[in-house]
Amino acid sequence: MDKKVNPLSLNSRSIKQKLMVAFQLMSILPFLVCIYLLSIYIFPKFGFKFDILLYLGISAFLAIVGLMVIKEVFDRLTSVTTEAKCIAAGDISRQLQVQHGDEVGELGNILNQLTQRIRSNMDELKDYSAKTAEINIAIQKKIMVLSNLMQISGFISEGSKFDQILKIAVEKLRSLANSEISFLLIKDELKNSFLMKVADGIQADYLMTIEIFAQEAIYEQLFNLHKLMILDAQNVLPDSLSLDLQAKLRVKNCLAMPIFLDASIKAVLGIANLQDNFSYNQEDIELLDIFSKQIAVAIENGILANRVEKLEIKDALTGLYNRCFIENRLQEEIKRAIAYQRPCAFIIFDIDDFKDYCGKFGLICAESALKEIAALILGCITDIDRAGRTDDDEFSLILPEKNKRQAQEIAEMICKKIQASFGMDQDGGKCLTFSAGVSENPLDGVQVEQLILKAKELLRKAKAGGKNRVMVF
Amino acid sequence: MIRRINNKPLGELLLERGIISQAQLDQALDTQRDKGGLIGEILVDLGFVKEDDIAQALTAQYGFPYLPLGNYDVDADITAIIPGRVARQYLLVPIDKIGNNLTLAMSNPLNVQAIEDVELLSGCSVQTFVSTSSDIKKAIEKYYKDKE
Repeated sequence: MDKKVNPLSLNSRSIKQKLMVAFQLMSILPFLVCIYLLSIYIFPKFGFKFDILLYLGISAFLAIVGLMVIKEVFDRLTSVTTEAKCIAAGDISRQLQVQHGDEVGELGNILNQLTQRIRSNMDELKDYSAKTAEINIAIQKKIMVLSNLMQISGFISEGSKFDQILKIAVEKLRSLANSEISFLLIKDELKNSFLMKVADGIQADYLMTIEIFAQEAIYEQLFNLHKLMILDAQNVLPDSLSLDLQAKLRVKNCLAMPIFLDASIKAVLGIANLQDNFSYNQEDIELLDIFSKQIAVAIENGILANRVEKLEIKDALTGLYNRCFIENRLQEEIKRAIAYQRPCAFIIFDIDDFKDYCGKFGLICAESALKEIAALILGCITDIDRAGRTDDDEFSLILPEKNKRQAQEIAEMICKKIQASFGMDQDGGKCLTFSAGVSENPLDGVQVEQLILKAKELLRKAKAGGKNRVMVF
Repeated sequence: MIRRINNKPLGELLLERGIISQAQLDQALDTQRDKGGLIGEILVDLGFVKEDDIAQALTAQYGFPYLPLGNYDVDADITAIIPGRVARQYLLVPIDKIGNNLTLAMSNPLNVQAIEDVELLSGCSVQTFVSTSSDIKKAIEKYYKDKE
């Protein structure tokens, strides 16, 4: 609102000015009127009198003293106002100097109390915000843990490689626990020992060489137990176990948790560091607990996948038998051959320079070549023979009732057919050849391993001899 | 090398020569189906024929000479030509070697693949004699005691 200010109005003036006007009205003006009256009516009659001058002087002095008192009050008021303005502007560290017990002093006190309260409120607010920040960090950490766990779950459900999953889980545990070392020991049921499967952090290379055998004290008393193991500044292990563990792992503090499957220990997950006067907290234990459960799932999944793999007998790409089946079958055929005084032949074929072929023409082309080769091999053998793909570029044949000479004929026929189908005249130089090694029961042995070893040895000879050939001796 | 191709099973040969009856052969074949094993050994186990009968039948039918191994000694040099595992699996024993000719005693000289294997192994041409299974087993035990 545009209000016109009257220059003569007192409303817009400060208290000081107002009081100055009031003082003048109350004391100086009546005083001046008195002097005027005295000088007009009384002084001419009595002449100059010293005592009247003295009264006047005293009156003037008193008036000035009164003025000074008022000024002092108002100066303080002004200073309080200035201080208040500063405080209002945000400078709450200011403290008013209160020396008098009057209203201005009280006002100063009240202002001081107010700023004090504001100050404490602000401190409280600061505390709250610090706490909120801490909570936020904790939440952030929990979210990190969860997202990492989700990622590991993802790997498990995607069917990623078992070792890869364990490695990622152990690495993540180390970074989330903010520990110098993390490790996973897997129990070897056959050897009755704990073998280091994954280690991450400092001295990981050393840790990977660790194996804890059943006869060591720490095996039964620390690792093969159904409970958490803590070694730090506050928790010292009984007997010499602390020293044993520190020497074995070369660490100072260690927190380890067993991983169970079907109520038996399968592995031990742990974190460790080399710090002095260090203690693990509840958070570390919880983190380890969560990860150990996740790893238990991964291990179980790995066992199941392994079981499924064992049950599979065919190679997915070519439809031929897989290595496991071929080896088992060869064992049976050898038994039968021995019982019936018959021979049984075994051939290993290997595609010459298949890696170069893959590099040149790509995986899709290579896979279709493998399929074609598989079909070609099947076309050359009888119903009682068994053909398998036993490695990336390796095929094996079991030929019951065939001796070395007959097997050699078949191997040579297959090599020739491969050469005819994938010969030099192929488009874009897509030629492929086969090398083969032929072994036989009983000539080369009565065990599967002996026949495989012999066939591989002959295959190496064929490769060394210039490839694209069959070796029988 | 000229080799007489013959697919006639031993059981039928013995039947033709009147050494066993059809019923006995059927019983032996049933046993073979149930338990496995070689027909000659089954017939012997069942007591239908003697080992000598089989050897003589093979001799008469195919002209393989018969060699009673009981009182025959073989040089260690000769047995070393064939590894123990091959001798045991094919039930044969090398008995003599003259020049490039290796002489074998076999319980079943019709096992052409076994003969081929021995030829491949020794680089010799093989002459076969017929012997009884038990004689050959005894000989193998005697000469291949320490070997595989």
